[in-house]
Amino acid sequence: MKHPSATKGSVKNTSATVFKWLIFGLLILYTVSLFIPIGWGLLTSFKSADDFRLNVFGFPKPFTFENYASAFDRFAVVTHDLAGDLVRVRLPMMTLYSILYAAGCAFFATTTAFVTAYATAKFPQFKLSKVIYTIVVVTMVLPIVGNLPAEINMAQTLGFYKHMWGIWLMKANFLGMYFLVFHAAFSKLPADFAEAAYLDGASEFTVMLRIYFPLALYPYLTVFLLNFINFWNDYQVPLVYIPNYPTLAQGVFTFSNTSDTLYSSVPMKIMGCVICLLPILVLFLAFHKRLIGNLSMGGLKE
Amino acid sequence: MKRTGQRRRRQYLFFLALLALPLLQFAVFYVGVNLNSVLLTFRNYSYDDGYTWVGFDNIRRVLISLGDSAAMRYAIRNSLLSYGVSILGTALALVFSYFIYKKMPLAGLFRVTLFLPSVLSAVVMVLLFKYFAENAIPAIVEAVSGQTITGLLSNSKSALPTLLFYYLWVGFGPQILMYTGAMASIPESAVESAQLDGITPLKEFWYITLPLIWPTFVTFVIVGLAGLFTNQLNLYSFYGGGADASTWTIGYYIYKSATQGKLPEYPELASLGVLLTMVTLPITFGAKYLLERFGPSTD
Amino acid sequence: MKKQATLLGIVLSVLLCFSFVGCTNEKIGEEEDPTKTQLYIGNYDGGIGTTWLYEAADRFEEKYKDVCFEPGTDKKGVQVHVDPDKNVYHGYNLINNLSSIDQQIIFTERAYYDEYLASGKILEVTDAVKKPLTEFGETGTIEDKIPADQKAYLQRDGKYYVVPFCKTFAGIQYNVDLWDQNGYWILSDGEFSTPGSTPAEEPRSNGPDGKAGTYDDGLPATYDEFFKLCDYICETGCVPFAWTGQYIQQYTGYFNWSLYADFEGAENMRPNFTFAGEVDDIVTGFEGGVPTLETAAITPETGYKLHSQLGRYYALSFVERLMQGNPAKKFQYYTNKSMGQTYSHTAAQEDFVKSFYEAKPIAMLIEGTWWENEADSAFASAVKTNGESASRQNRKFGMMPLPKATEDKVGEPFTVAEQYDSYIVLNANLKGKQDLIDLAYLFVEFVCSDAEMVKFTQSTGLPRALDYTMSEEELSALTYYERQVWDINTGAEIIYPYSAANIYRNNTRSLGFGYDWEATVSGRPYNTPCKAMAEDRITAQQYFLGHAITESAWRNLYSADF
Repeated sequence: MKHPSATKGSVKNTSATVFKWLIFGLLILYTVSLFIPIGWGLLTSFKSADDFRLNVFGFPKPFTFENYASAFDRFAVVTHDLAGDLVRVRLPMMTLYSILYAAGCAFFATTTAFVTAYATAKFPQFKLSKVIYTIVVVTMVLPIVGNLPAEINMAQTLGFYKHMWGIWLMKANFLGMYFLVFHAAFSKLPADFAEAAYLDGASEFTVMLRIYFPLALYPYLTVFLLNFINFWNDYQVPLVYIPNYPTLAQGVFTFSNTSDTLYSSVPMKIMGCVICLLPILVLFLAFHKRLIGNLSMGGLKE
Repeated sequence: MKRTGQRRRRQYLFFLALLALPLLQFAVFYVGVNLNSVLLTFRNYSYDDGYTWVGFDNIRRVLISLGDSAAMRYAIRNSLLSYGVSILGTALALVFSYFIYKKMPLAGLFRVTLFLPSVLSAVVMVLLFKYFAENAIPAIVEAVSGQTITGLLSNSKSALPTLLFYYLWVGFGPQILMYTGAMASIPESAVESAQLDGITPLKEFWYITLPLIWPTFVTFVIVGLAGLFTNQLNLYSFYGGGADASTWTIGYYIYKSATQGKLPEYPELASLGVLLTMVTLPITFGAKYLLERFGPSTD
Repeated sequence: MKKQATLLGIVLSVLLCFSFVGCTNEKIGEEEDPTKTQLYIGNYDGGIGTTWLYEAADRFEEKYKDVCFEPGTDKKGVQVHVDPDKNVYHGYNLINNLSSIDQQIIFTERAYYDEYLASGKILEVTDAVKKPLTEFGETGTIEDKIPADQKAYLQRDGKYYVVPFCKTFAGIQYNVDLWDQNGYWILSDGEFSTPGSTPAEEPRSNGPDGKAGTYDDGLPATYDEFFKLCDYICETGCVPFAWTGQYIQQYTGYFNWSLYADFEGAENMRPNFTFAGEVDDIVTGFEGGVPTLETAAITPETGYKLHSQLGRYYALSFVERLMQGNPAKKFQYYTNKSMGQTYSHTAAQEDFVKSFYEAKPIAMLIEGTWWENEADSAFASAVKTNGESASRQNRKFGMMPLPKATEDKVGEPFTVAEQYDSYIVLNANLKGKQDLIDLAYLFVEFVCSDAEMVKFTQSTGLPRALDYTMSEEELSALTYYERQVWDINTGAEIIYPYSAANIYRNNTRSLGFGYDWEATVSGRPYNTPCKAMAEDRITAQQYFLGHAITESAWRNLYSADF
């Protein structure tokens, strides 16, 4: 169908253009508003505590690498290991623990939600599917108070406490919004995809693994990334359940929580944050192009 | 006939096999851990007498408190306001995603910046934003107008708008990721044929893009609604337990009270939670039903 | 997609390799000596620090090096392992951790007694508390040293489950050097002192206790005098007050309670915790700005009346004047930073310490007695720029007894409240190991002996939460400030905001000392009086009336515990 008239079309185009540039302006503003504080944060990490006290916004005078130097020196968590011995954990090991914690938890959390969502979305004929969907929404609505002691107690009773695999299994639940995301993704995939495979005698398992999972690989990786970032930045849960495996985020928390004012100054805190942030930022910048948008491989093309 | 039955049985077994472990995990680490907390709605605790059943007495008390307390009225209002902002955020995220999907100028950069706040830990974002709202903006205002103002988060008049802004400002990430992903999966053939017909961008958005990402959109609306009374509006990150009473949300009130409270004080909070769940659940499912029933369809 | 996964794999393995460079964690604990009995002690490593405990542990090891604690083995002596931590041994964390740690004795803060009891994870210590300390040359028991209020709360069916540990107060801290330098002392004729003068040259006023020759001489006795002083501080180019803006609600809220407690005195204040007794100053209304009073019997049912106790009104009126400043002279009594969320308590301490050498010195800080210990590194960095005279040993600070609301209250004792829930607890993991229990008891008795408590105070500058005395000679080891804290510890009336009353124990979040000071004024909720007064110009009277609670609301909230 053609446009009814040329004039009307150009009017429309003008308003569309205005709208487009309006959004463009908004996004520029957003980008600037984001980079100013981050740039300021970076600069601040090169200030001495005294410089910061009297000069909150100016350039560091002088530029000091002292924060970073003392961080590598002082950045350590003292904890009891599994055998009960007192140990000092330093930066490299904290990085390792962070990777194990974030990647492991992200894998278990994402996969559990993924599989559960597949089962409930592909077999809506079973009542349990509806029940699970309802459970997920109800648990999102319902605030729970004061369950921490019960949770710790459970972890200790089952022997999960202070074990990396223990926290992985504790995180292997399907609750939360990512279940809904996966559920929406699987519901969208037409059932006839699998019919041909069924006729060829493929099992349910083959159909799931070979046909549907690849089609939903993109949301899976996206959610994995989001989960990974969340767990990477999380210090509260590791602090409670795996105090013997101090992660980077926990290191930053401990570091900035010391009562020694020399180490709890804002420049020090921000420096700690930068250390914690860098690996994940690099990871994100390296993969964002592949993860965001480019879907020809995993999406619903054709 | 027999074959269908067999297949159905096989499917059912497969279905149960997939769900067995997740359900076991749920039974242990959700039901097992939280059951007592939920039951507190109908129980009381005192150090001397332990737990006692009180039926709906806690709910009745909470209802009276809700009517009595100005702080609670404000908290409900603020929770609703937060949801309003999250709707605005969803709308903006949709528009931004479309903008990126259409490869507008600097789309690549925006894709990164919109997601950046989700990469940085909440601790860092809060710290950076706090220093800005508290120190930089008053300094700028003073330089421009010569007036001294208190920090935006400290002054209880500007605190709520600032918190709402922050909530919007850092919240685009996951939605942008999901929407741009879903949009990119729209078959190019459909778009091309429409463009040959001379469709306007607005119409393309309305008739082609939106229907295809509708399930994702509905998910986020549902998630927002479900979090209506658990959303803390980042108050705990900014203020710890000491936020000004006029800025509280219900989610914050319950959370901070639970962290400060002790065993005998949990029943009241649990009851408030259950009571509000009774209100939110039908709204959430109602919205889901309506959005799916009357939303645009792909056909 | 494959390429991407490969890349991810590469990045992760590089990071992993990087991690393995550091490979194992360095062991730092003391090696166990198999010839000695092992004692594991945990210490919350907060403002009080752990140095004192290392010292005490050394003395304990030395004293008992030849004693066998495990009969039937050939072990001789004891090896004490001290573990300082800021996370594990604090409040609720400790409850959650107790059953999974090795530590047998723990020094902790924010230990909510009833929660600890309910958890069943701590060991009874009655035997240690009631045993005469003859071992240490004393005739009495630990129980004899526990203050009566504490005893009433801690004792359950005649049994004890914790031993009180440390005692801290909060209030106004002031810079004595600045008082000397600028002449802020109030003389007996009501004038301000000449800069640099000594009490011998210019006799000072008696201060709020109305007595000459005590630690509060020359300090403002009444609110009127206090704010006159604030004006004078402004006139001399200094800033009267700072407090943390980040924790403004907690710190100023606690300060309100301190004002309230000091106004009421122990007798009139105690019903707030016991919900028993009679108070004679319940405000029924205002006539021409003057409160009208009634006497009321306080029971759990009538507890709501305490929200209208006169002391709360006066506390609020103090805050009102503080926030108002002196509009006629354009004086503001506090630094603007104190209203800002980025002003942490340590930043405020640092300013308080260092501003003395800068353009606008800060005269007073709202803080707790632990502040000087906490600001240790601020002193250290001040020494770097200003020389040895800026050290903690050489600087002079004091804790100011609160001025009295009205003239007729002058002479009543300064009343302060202790509330840090700081205790020594024994881990239930000792159950069944009688030898080790006896050893743990012995260590508890040891640190509660008079000699050890004196050493504790000399090391930390803080009083233990038990009754003991120190000689002038022993006190000479303290800094000027620590000495003042000790003077308050012995000179002031101390109330312990605890009680065994059900209604209080079961509702400490809303009734407990130091918590929210909530009010509704014109339909808007407030919980921080100083902010309400600064931002919305709410008056003390408005806030006070909005803070009152009705009988029906009270009944709705607390009737389960009547």
